[in-house]
Amino acid sequence: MRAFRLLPLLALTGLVLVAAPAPAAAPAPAAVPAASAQDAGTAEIIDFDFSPRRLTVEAGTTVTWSNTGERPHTATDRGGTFDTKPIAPGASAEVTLSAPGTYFYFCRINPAKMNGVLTVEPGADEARTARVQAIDPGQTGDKLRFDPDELSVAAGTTLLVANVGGKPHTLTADDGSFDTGIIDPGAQGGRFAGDNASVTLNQAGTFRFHCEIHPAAMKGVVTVTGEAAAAGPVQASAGPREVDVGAADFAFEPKDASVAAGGKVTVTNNGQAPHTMTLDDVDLDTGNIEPGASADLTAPDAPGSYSYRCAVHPARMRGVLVVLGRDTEDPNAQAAAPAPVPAPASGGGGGPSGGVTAFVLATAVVAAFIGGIGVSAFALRRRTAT
Amino acid sequence: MDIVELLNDLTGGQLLLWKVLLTSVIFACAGLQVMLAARFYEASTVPPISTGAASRTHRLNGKLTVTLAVVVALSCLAGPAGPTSPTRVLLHSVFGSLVFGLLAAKYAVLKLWPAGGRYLPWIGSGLFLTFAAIWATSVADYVTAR
Repeated sequence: MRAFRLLPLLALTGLVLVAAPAPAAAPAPAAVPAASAQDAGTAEIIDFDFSPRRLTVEAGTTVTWSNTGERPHTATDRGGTFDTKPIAPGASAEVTLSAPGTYFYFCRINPAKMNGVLTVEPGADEARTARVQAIDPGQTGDKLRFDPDELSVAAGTTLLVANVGGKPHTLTADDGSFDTGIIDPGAQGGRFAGDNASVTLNQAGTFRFHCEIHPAAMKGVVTVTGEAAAAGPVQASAGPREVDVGAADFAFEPKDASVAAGGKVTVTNNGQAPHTMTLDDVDLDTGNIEPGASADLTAPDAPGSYSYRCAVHPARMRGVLVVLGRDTEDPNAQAAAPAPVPAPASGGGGGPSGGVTAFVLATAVVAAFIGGIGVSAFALRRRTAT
Repeated sequence: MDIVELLNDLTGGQLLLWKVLLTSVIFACAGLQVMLAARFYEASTVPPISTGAASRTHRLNGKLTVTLAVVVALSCLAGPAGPTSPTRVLLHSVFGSLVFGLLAAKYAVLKLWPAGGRYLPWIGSGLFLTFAAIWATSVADYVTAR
């Protein structure tokens, strides 16, 4: 009996113990053993790790993650440019990376323990996008810095700046000629994927840059070579300039759509309930679309896979928008459709059975009824007393 | 130790489903709590039991409710807690925090400020309504969205 009386106290103590040391940041991928897999383009996911944790590929390579574990996992860019969605045990997922640079990636189902580093080296073709990571102690053991802090690109190249840390950053030219604005970190001090932003460098010259928020510690220099690029689209792409996505009750159709960088995405609500298309890792949102109505989004400039959801029905309505860069193969054009991926284990499978729904609704009705008796009794007693 | 991983293992990969079920049970227990309190405060004649029995049942049920609530809150804090959008998620976080604020207020009145006992019915009613709000911003979305 005494033990039972202490149960809430013990439970509260457990809550405090668990909540207090909650990781404010993800462990640094840089701290993991540097397994090598040069140019392989394939990696395994095991419970709960990536193998190898470090992978180097050429730009344009399609990286395949095969889940040989017993639980679903994802391979998700900490800078928000790609997300495989949950990969079921035995299944695999592919991402084509066209922008050279370093990619800190992780599993967003197990963000604390599953981290990897993907290095994309320039390929035979000149890349029109280069990636710079803004890093800080949000990556445990790391420090405030840009990676790389020194780079050389051709005029017309877009710098894709990914915040993989736990603090907001900017990439701003010392002479003010370009500025990304504030790039937000991932939730929980960088435990989840951060935001990204891009600037296009059309003017040749040498430009020193810094982070406006951490100007003393985060500095770098970019050398822009060649002629100034003519005005025009930043990312040439073979992908469609426009794509239509239907939002039914309760699924997107198609779930995986491809569009050129900067292309137009039209979302039409074919259902009876309001829906949205809300991208997970970039600030793009149609807002509520009423039944029968449509809304347009402009696809991001940076190629990659962008997961999205309906903000009204996030548990069920999810999809991926693939933004195609120059010479990027369209993964959605493949004849063989990938195997369906079940929801992650923590998502509770494919939804409640009728029994579960009936149980929770009946319980709620009973709760509201008996609780209502109590609350109204107190309210009436007070009224009577006064 | 990854708490979410452990709880996922314990629930056979059905952690969210178990949270949904437990949240509903907690909501029902909270309703029972306020009804029992109304009985031993003699504000109500239901359930038809003595005030002493109602008081004892209230205490036992309260401990069970708090324990279950802490377990669910713990799995939320260790797992998905953090995002503040959409609004439903933000409200769920606010109500989830409010519950433990109200519980702290209730224990403070019980243990430290006996003269504040006249506020207990309102704190208890507030707790029940907050549990209802938590249910509405989580379980209701789960069963309707799916």
